Amino acid sequence: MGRIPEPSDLLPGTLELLILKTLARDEMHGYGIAQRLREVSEDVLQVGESSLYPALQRLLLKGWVKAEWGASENNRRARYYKLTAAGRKQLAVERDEFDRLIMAIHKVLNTA
Amino acid sequence: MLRRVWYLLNKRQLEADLAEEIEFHRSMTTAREFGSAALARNQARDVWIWPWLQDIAQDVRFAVRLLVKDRRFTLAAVVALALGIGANTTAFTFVNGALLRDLPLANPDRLVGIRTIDTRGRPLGVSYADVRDWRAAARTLSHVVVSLEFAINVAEDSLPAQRYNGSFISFDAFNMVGRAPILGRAFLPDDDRAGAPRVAIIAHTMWQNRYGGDPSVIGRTVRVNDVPTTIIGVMPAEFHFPWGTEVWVPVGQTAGPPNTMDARRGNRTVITVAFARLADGVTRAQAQAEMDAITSRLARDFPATNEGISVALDPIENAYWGGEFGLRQMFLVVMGAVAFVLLIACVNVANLLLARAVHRSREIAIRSSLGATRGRIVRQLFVESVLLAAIAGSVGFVLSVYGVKAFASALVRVAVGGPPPFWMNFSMDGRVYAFLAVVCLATSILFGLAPALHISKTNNDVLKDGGRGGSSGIRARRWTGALMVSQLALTVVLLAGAGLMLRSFLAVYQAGRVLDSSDMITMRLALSAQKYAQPAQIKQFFRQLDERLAAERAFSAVTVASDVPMMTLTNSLRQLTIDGRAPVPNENPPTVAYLYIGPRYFETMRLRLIRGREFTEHDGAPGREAAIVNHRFASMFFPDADPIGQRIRLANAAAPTAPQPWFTIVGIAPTVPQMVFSKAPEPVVYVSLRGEPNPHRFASIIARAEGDRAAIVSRLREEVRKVDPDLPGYYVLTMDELLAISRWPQRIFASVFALLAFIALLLASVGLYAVTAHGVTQRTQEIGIRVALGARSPQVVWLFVRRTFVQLLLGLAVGLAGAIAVGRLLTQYLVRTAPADPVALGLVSALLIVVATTASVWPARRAARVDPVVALRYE
Repeated sequence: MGRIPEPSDLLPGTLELLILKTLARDEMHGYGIAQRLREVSEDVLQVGESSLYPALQRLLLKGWVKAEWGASENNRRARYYKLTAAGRKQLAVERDEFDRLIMAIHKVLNTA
Repeated sequence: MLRRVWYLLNKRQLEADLAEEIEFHRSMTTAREFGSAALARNQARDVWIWPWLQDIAQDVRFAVRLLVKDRRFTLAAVVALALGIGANTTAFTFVNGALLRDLPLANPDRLVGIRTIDTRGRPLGVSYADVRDWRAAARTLSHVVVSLEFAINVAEDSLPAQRYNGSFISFDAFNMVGRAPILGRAFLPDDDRAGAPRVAIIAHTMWQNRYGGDPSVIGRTVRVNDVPTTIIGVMPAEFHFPWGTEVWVPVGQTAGPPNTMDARRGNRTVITVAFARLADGVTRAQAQAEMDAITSRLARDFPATNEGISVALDPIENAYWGGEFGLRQMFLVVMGAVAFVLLIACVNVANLLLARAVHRSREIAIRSSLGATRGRIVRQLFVESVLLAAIAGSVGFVLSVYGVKAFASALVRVAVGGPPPFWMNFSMDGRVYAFLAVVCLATSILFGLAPALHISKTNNDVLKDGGRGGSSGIRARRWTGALMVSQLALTVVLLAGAGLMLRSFLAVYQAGRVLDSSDMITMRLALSAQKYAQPAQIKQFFRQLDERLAAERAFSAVTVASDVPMMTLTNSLRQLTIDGRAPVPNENPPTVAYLYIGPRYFETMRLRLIRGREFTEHDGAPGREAAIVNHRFASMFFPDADPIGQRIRLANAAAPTAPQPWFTIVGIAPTVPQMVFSKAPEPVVYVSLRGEPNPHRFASIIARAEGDRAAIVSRLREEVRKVDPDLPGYYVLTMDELLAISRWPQRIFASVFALLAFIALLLASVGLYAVTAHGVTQRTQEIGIRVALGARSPQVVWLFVRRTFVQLLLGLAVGLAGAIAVGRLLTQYLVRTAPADPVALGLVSALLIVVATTASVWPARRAARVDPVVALRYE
């Protein structure tokens, strides 16, 4: 793995989908989300603050997540994000979309 | 959208949250990223607002480019809308001043006017005795104030005598309206009783103009109607309560003879008015209930004078805006008319946009095939409309500033011989600006909506080679047709309004032409009650004055009369009884205008009697009472008989005890409009000054003289001074000015309506022209084929004009129905013109047909000249 993909290299909307999926299990602060993405992807997806926070703001704007201040593991003030009902619905939709997209890409790669 | 707004409202808090959050993130990260925290913060923040603003900015940029590119369209649309918006803002400024703005009095919504009405609902004045009882009894009213408007002559040795508008008023009137003198003191209860030392408070205008703002005016003693009176106070500027008062005198000092405030309970002269302030926490209905109870008690106690009398409490605004001229209604009618103009302008611009839409369908189709949603396209079109309306709004605003200035000065000029009406404030305030903004936005929706919906529905067929979007063209034409019909209908209504108003103006103008008004000047005199207590003294004064004036060579003709034409007020009306005719039971006797005139009256007026003779020096002696009636009187009361030799008797409701001799009719004079704002020629009875049994203390001099007006006026004043040195003349007006004043409601209305109708007609014809011209361009190919197949030019022209005729007929039908309805609303302002006047409506229809035909035949003729070869190649 020569280069770590920055989210701008991802398909548009993928980062939001990944965040929604991450939040589906538990509420989490921004740093936690980035950590979780890295762990689960085994260091393939390293999300920087310059793409993570705009994505979170977009999700807030669309009303798919909610944010609340709480205490972090080391007892500092941190903002926790939580999936809303609309966000949960959106996650399902986006997942289907994504699966279709991946299928399509596979087909293209295998036939061309 | 809502979240964005929420974001904007809580911007600071949310940005702080974001900064703290990113800080937290950084402190947790072990492998530090490069780049500033501020940048990360900005990127995250911009999600909220940036794309949105960017889109809007893009739309605006595009719209500006489009407006600049299509300059002719922009100019036409801006001019049309600016006229409409300007007219509406102007009219609203007046409606705002008259209906929405508070009167410049403290808590005006707690103030009421008290009217007395008889059993038939006719208004009477209030009686001073009643007011004193109301004042003593009413618990629901904190103040009850009476005011008697009166002409006050102020004389002193060092300055020439001058006449002012005066009020005999209750001491607490200033307290009631929450104003206090800026100099000296207010009236005290002790000032307001008979026998108190005479005091007066003067207005700021008088203080400045007569005394040059000298503070030592307090304590000065002047003769107010010949009574030595001390000036004790000066009121602030622009205060002339109730209407145009410049000198206030406590009413209690003047009660009882020989002064003017008549304390008899039955005396309800129209010029006595009462106002009150509601006590705290009391509603007008509660106060009305209490007043009803008090009124019925007074009716029991004083059946002779108070039976059948009831009172009504009105909002005080009625006393200022609801009165004789009905300015409030007038402004509302004009407001309605200008709304029509704006509607027409909107329809026009909508039509222009629709015509352009056909050209733009390709652009829109490309946009939508590139992924623009319908909402996105509608938004872009909406931004264009709003931009257009905003430009037109700014131009319209500038227009309205001038409009307000011109109209307000015309209104204020009407106040004769007093300060300008202090309650008329037609400056523009926040409400006017808000109205302007709302009108701009509403207009942009109104004219932009139909084209936007139409365009956004365009399908992508237009992209096909040679495609013309046929179905879209037909839909556009349907919209255009409907818009054209409504525009024509609205124009008919405005034209009809203008026609009715012009007819009324001409009627008033025609009536005034009986008089040869050139070189005629008039001056009013008000004799003091002190010096002229007896009728004989009054008659003596006028005889002396008349003799002096007649001997003066400067005047080619001169006379005195109780009133001048067009300025006679209702207190000169008399109830008529005709000898030998029994009064109709249960009906009030007919009223006629009544004048007493000096010798040479008809000579000075240059009126020749139609029949009979003028007064001789024997007329008027007891037993030889003679009267001259006007032609209107003769045709009203003696349609089949000769009035000459008939006997009439005239009763004065204000002075029921005055003697009523029988007058014998000796002559018939031409009809001259006599009453203020007279609508129909009224019956007039003239008697000679000598024969008048009970003359009041007012009279006018009417003179004819060539030359400098100032010199003539000072000559007149000098002659008056020689008879009575303390008597000033006022209301100095030429007959031409009197005529202008008498015509002003019709003149203003007619010119406003004519102007609006002209704008409407212009807009409608420009609209017709543009639509037809556009149709010709669109159908060039088709015309080419028709011509190639042998169609001749009239047939081609007819192809286009036919549509116009159908629209015109529909528009006329709808418009005339509307015009008749609107004519009914205007009845109040019409003079000798029916609301559905066939002449006016016929002329209006003819005018519209001619203009509309011209506007559509003209561009259609271009179609007839199309060369089929060129046309078929045309693309």
